[in-house]
Amino acid sequence: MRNPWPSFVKFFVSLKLTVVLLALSIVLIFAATLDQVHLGVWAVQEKYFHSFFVLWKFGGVPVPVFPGGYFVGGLLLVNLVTAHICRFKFSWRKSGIWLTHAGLILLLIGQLLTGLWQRESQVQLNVGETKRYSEDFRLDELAVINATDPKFDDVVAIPESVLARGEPIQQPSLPFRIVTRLYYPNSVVQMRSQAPNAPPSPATMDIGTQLAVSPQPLTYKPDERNMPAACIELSGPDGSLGIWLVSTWLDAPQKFDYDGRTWQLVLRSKRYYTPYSLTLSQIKNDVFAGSDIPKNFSSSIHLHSDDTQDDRDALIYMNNPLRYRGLTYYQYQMNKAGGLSVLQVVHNPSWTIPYISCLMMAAGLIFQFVLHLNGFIRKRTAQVKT
Amino acid sequence: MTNYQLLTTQLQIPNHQPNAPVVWIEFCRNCLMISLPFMRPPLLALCAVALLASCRDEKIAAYRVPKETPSPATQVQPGGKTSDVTWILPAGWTTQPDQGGMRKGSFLVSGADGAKADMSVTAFPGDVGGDLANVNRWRGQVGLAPIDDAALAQAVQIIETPAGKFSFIELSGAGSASKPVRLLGAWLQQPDRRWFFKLMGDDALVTAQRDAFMSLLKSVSFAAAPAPVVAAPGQAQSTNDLPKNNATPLAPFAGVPMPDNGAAPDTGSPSAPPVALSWSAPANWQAKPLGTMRIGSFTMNSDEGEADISIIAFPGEAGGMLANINRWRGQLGLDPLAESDLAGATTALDGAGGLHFTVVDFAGRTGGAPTRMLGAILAFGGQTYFFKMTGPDALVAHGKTAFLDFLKTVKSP
Repeated sequence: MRNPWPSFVKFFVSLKLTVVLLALSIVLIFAATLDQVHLGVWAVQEKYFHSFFVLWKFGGVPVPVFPGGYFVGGLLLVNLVTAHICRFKFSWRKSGIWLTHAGLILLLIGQLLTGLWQRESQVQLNVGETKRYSEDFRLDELAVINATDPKFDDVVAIPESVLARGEPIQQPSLPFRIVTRLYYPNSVVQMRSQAPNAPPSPATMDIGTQLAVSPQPLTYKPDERNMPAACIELSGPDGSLGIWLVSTWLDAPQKFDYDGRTWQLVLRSKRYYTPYSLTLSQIKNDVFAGSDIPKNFSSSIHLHSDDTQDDRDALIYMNNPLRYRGLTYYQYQMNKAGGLSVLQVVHNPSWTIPYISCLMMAAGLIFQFVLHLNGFIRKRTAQVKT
Repeated sequence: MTNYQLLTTQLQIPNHQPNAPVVWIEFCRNCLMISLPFMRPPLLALCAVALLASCRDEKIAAYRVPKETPSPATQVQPGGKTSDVTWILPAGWTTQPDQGGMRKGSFLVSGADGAKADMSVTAFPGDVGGDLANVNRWRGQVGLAPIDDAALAQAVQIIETPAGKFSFIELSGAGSASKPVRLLGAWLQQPDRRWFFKLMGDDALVTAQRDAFMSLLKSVSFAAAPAPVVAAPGQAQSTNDLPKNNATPLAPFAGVPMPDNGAAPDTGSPSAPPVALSWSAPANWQAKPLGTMRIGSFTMNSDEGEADISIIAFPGEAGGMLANINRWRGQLGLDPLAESDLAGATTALDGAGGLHFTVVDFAGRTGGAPTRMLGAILAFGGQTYFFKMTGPDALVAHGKTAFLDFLKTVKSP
């Protein structure tokens, strides 16, 4: 039996593979650029580049139709690495070139990891307010909260995508089943008194009975977000408990008692909790003298960690983020009149890789330059002597 | 056996020349190596992993978090919406959602046997039609007949508080569902706006909460001067150009501009009166979100463009027929009419149940484009209702019959 290894290596080292992958990248970028008209920047990035395959839905079943950004980029990386290993012969005279290429490979890996691991969210804080979570820019979740304990909330967070599937949701810590009876990915909610012609609401509980909900077209604009709404039915062993209308339009959780416990239901932005809290002490907005042009925005933050290791103040302003336990807090938006500051929170475990790779490339190039310079000087000196 | 070997054994082609199949298969192999990498086991595995990874899905998470302590801001500024007024909430009153975005404060008071009362705090520019119009609107909400100025002077009490002198009125009536309801209403005039505090609900419960209502009024305190506005309230200003792609505005937002565009609940707010009329919109009109002023809002789309249909209501005469028609004409770049021209520019339309509309049809230009406006004005129940369709000339001209038919569907309860 023939050993497949050489053909395996040959395939990945092949320059033809590089050409095919570059051609695929061109097609991918072209298609994504055209689709941006329909989907907007964010959705296009997710569909075409932050994916292994571009999926199309045929009858609700996702079918891969084209290799995605991760696939093409990943193979390009493998191609570059194997070619590097197989073709380059290491010698100290070429170690600079080797180091430079290694830096380039690391840069590519860093980009891939950033795409895979980076998560962006935001914290909105009023002056004096304390929060221990950030909220996703796009994703929403249905939080079913057991609020019986006076000190703690037990939260079951159901992603909107799970809710949208409409399948019954059974979670071990919940004494009831959740079934989505109606789901609009984008909606508008009105008081019934203001919408006399609205069809009857499926909701039978709480404020949902007074509200009319109607679907809206999905928005892909970068400065807007979809406001989903859903009617969810909770069913216990003795039958239905009722149907609630939940929507990101409704800020306050809806409360009910069941099984001797107090529950809350709220559809909200997906939350990422941290083992520490941030309190907004003060905000400052300086303008250039005699104008309304902003000069500086800054937020004074008090940081308190649960393990009491940290209890300190931090000042966040443009280009001076707070980096703490793997998260970076940037000054993002501010409403001085409303006493409100918004911080963008970036989780990117691979943030140091670009710095390291740049240093490696710089070191490699300097080494190679010095080596050549040295040789050149020696040659000239020898010529002068003769 | 490798895939390649399998392929070569299966592809035994009749050979006229001894080397021909080998050359051909070698060529196919090369093609396969590049274009069909899926045939190779390592790549197949890679594809499988990649495909699985691309189908990754979010999971349900369960976790425990410490209870949130309400921040000082939310304790005194319910909803965190305003920084210009604060108060102390009476015990047992709970904050409730304000879908309309119009309330400065929105609370629910619950009593025994499911009794409920709704507390709203609103503020509007000017004097909002005057005391009599507002009190008569409140009287209508509890099922009482309107009163005149003399009776109003008798009914209103003045309440001294640190924030200023509130006018206070207490009303009780049968309510719309023949269930006794009580309304405690107080308003305070400031130079630029008028504040309304209204508690309305179950008769016995509201009576029991009268002292709590008064204590809330006495705790009201206004900021000395509004802070300089950096960004429009409800919208924060971006301080960082980098993450534009994810720049999401604050406060409510959807596929529509939203900060103040939500549906208004029955706040008793003067510019959003309870809808006393009902109507049925044509099938090709799509409902859209209500603005702060609108009580009905639709859009009509066709190849010719998009037309906007709005229904708003104001207490009293809202400035009079001529002023409003000239305001509309101004929106189309047309010259104002004189009082004497009014009769010639308007037509009368008799709707259902004796409702009488004054209808106008103006064609002008907005932004250089030919624009048409159909408007109808209706005085009913102490309010003036304005129905308006605006859009591209041809589209609105085609939609005129539908608009007039729509007016005929407008009914009083």
